[in-house]
Amino acid sequence: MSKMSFFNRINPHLIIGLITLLFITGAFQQEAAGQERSRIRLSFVKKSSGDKLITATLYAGRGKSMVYLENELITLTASSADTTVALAELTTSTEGTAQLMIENGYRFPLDEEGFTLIEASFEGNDEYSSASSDIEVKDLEFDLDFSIEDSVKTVSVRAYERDSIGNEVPVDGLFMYVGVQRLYSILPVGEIMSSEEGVYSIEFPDDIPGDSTGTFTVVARIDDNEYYGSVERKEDIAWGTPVSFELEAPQRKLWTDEAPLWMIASVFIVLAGAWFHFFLSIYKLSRIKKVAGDSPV
Amino acid sequence: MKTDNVNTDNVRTDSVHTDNVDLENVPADKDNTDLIKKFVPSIERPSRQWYAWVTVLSAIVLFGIYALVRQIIDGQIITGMRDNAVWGIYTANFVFFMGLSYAGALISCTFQLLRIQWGKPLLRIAELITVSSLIVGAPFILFCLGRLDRIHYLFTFGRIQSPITWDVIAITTDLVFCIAFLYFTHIRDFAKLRDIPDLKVAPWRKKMYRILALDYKGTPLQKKYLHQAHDIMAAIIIPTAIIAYSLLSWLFGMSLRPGWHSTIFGPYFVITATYSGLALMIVIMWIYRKMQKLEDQITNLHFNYLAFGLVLMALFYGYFSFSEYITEWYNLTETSAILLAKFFDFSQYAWLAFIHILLAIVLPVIVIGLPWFRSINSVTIISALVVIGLWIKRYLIVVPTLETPFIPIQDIREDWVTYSPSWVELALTFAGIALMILIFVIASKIAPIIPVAEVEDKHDASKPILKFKTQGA
Repeated sequence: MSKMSFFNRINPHLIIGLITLLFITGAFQQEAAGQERSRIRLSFVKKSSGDKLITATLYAGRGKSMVYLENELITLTASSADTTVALAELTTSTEGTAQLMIENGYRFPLDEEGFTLIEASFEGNDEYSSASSDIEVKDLEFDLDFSIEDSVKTVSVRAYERDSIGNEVPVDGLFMYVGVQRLYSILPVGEIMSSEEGVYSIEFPDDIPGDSTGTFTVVARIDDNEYYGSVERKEDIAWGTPVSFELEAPQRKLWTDEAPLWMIASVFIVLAGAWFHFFLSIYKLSRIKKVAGDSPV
Repeated sequence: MKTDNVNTDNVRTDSVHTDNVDLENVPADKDNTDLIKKFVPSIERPSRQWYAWVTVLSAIVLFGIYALVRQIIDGQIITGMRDNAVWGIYTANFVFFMGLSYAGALISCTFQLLRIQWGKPLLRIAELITVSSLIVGAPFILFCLGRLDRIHYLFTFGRIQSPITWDVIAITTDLVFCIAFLYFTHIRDFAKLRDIPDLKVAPWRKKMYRILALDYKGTPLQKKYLHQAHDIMAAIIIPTAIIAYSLLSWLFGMSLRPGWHSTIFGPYFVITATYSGLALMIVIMWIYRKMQKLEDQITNLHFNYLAFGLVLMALFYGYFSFSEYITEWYNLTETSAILLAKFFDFSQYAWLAFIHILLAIVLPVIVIGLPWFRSINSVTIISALVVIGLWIKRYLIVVPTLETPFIPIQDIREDWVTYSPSWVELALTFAGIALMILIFVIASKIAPIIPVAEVEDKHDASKPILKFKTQGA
């Protein structure tokens, strides 16, 4: 008896039946869903000025790729245990984002521990399902201190929150980044994970280029902390190497009263060469008449 | 006492080499001996048709002169040029005719330097294209000037840094060289005409032939000097013409305007010029072949070769045009976007742009490229259309850009924003075309349109282009 391969042993009717079933269930699934599932990614950043930037990004998964939903309405609220405040209704941009900048001094509803629940929600439409996302954040403050001891430059960041009566409470255990603000991003100087009474210190290099006076902006930052979101603090300090960025604008060389020497030389050489050959050919031509009687025809 | 032997050029002591030149279509020696006689009747007695042509063309030229006088008296206000579109069809004509002149110089000098035997019958047509288009084209840029009475300032206050100064120097040089070259190629034919004892022309013309022939008798030494003079001039005219036409392109390319500020403009102009000159040459060849029954001299082979060149140029031209616009379009600035949009807007320049593409790129490739449509007549018609298409191209280079400045046009009369030529400009344009034709019509009565002596001299093929010290393999 000959051995049958695995594929030969499979009943073809069974395969056709399975494929048909797959199609039918797939179609039912699609019909049942009707909409694609949308999601919101929410972030909270406390800027150096104390302003808070809330960013909600609305997107939907389509196959393996992601589609950002444009021109959709996002509702932002802030709430505590007993109070809910509507912050804004925003329309998403082409990148699917809705951003709200809340000025320093605005008082969010706080629970007993000082937390605020920020929520972003999307009602959904015929194409996409509703979605919502929230983060619970607490206000955190940074103070920057710059010191030099024995020619060693140190940046100290003091992190603290305030209790219900306004007293400063040091915060330890943060993962702190320190860097220098460059044109498009932050140049990292180092990360600090240990602190003492809320003070995070890092030795600062002295070979970073600054502006013409050696000034640059130092940034201390925490990212996506589970209690505080993202918080940053910036301060200028003249600790850098002075660099003059004033480039001497190249002048248009031909706008001068006199032509550059190379141009005069080039024109002269080209013209002299051309006219020399012209007169050479005229000379050759003049020889025609002179030799007319010299040689026999 | 003069002999009857007209063909005195062919005396040589060395052996005759033909190299690999295809001489199949060059007429035999026996026929060539009588070739000058074929042209004598038309040189002696111009036909009524010739007088009619001269009259009509002169009238058009005179009307153009009248228009110019009106422009000088009344000022630029009677043209279509205004503060924004400071150039119009005068500049388009200038670029167009300069291009023709460059092409003619390139073709004739290349034929001369490379000893291209089959091209000899076309030498004079190419040289006449060069000189006539230079004579006609150069003044067009002067017509754009508001104060022609200050033209001498160009020389007294000209700055070497200015592309305008470069152009003035280059065009003047080119004109002198090309007229000299045209004369050089006439010397042997003037000698032939001088040596016809019973040539029935006015005494002053006989005298003119005698003076201009420089006592040329065709001795080996005279031939040597003439060839040397020829070669030197040909070698110097090619770079001069390329420089002159590149400088012309830099007048545009060196200004910060959309559609002009391009590094490709130099070679693009040179390609366009060669292309238009080649097309015009085919048209003129066809006309003379028909009118003077020159089927033995301007053969099918000539059309074949030039048509091949034409389709090649069409492809090059298409490539350059595409490169030019794709570069402009890809890194689109706001003003460039406005300019390019005009080429797709049928209320503005889309018609002209598409007609230009059809005439200068699509039709030549289809009609000449595909064997079913290819004939001498179809090649000639296509060549004429190419010439028109390339004139349109020059217009599209000049005018739409000027109508699209970086600083928005504001507070100005609507009819001043866009350019359209006035009757004065059109009259001068047609006068220019008429003058060019007139030069051909008159020149072909002074000497044969075919350089007879050159065509008869088949030994020329053996002359090396470059001389080496050692004769090796």
